[in-house]
Amino acid sequence: MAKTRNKILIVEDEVDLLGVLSQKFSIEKFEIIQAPNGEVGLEQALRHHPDLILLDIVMPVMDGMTMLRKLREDSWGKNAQVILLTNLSDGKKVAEAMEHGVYEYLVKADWNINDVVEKVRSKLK
Amino acid sequence: MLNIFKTKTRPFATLSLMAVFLAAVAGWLSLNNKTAHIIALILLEGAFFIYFLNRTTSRLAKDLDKFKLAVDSESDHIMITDKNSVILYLNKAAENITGYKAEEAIGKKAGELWGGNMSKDFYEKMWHTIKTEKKPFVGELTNYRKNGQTHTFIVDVVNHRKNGQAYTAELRIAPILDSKGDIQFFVGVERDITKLKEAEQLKTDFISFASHQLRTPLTVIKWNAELLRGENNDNLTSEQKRYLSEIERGEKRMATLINSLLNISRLDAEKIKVEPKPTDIIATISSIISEVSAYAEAKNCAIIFNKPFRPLPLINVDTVLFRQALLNLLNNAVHYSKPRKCKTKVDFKEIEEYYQIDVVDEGIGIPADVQNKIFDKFFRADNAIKFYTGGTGLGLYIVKLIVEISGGKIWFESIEGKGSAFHFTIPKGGMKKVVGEKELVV
Repeated sequence: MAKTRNKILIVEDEVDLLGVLSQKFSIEKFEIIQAPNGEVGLEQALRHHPDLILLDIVMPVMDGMTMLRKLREDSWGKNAQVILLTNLSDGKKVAEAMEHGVYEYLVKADWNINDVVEKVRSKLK
Repeated sequence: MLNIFKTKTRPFATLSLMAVFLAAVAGWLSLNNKTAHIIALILLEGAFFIYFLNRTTSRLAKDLDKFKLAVDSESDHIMITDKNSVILYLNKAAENITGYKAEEAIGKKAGELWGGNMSKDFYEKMWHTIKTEKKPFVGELTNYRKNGQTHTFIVDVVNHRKNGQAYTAELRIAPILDSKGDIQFFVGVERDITKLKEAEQLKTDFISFASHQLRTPLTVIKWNAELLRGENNDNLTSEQKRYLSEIERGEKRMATLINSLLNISRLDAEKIKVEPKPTDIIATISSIISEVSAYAEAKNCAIIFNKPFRPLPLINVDTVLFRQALLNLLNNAVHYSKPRKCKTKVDFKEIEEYYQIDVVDEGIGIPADVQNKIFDKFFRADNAIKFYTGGTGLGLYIVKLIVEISGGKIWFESIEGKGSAFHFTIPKGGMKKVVGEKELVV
């Protein structure tokens, strides 16, 4: 893949949300890697070293917080850029994520998809 | 305690029988003797007196038996204590609810058995009300059954059954005073409302769960509509654009409704936190008004803010909650007014201990016969439904919850066809801080 393209990993178990996010980011010329849970997400992250990870919290098999902890144990993963995709009820987890160096999160239902892209872009600058 | 009366009636009965017998013997022995005659009469009268006394006493005892039976079999927990709160009596329901037998409980205090689990403040307030003010006290508390597991409630007070299980009770204690106004007894009545509380909790949990679940598909709709608009807007016909706008409008309406439901589940469960911070309230009100002004202008409406003349100190206000309350009132004012015929006035006043905010409109008003229901959850007046079908009946309910949780009051006057005036207050010392788990969804 061309170097100019930013590579992002989207870890989200809601297929419809994963679909629309992937669609949007590919229109915006990102290279997309998808994962339906934390386990696949971790594996993909360590293999592809994406520029940024969009990470859902509540997921089956392995949740976002577990994936984040394991990611931080890796030499590449400890500095990887992560934005949490949260729901309203995830306040406590967001606080926990901050201990793992994640200061960016967005409450899915409150955001326009264009703003999500903007947020990702601003992190990659 | 009531058994005393039963045993006392027996000697009376024996005594009266003896008196009648004596009188009869005396009368028979000295039929012609005047003195004996008088003695016999006196004895006879005495006998009758004792007989009637006995009859009254036994009737009284019967009445007391009736009362005792009634109190014994009452389904609420009833307890009588002396003025030092030592238990004198416990009915059957109390035995069942607490798990303690009357014999175990009599002579002890409730605090040593099932009570004593609430905050110090709760008991201080309770004792102050019943002992010092000598007034009945009403409260809600959680008790624990004798031994065993606990329940997961968090309520104002905690009691436990003998098995250790928690139960929530609605408590009323009344001091019983003698003619001099001194406390003789306390009568405590508790209703086990555990089931009711569980049902309420279930309802709240369900609303919270459902609202969360509804937000995900709604996000899918929103983001896809955005994609459609963003990518192909030039290729869309004007009709297709209109369909898209309808989808977006529907999505927004649904999102607002879901947020309202979530807020209600949080406010109802008293999970919301109130975090007052020093705030320039006039600037805040102005900015909230400007949020509504675009909508108001579209309807050709004016919102006039009468600011106070004197500058105000910073007031402790949770701006998120305050904004939601005022926004709901302003939206209603504009919403339920006829286009071009709507002037909404916002006043800010200082009245004694409070700051008062008035939102006065010239809208459709609230019919007199439903004014007492206007703050009820999901309630909408007929004229409001006819005027606008899309309302949820949650706006004013939320306003009331917010105002009351933060220590204020809310009320209104309204004339159907003429308009409404809503007033709410914030204590001079600022909104009351509440340590809760959650924030309002906005």
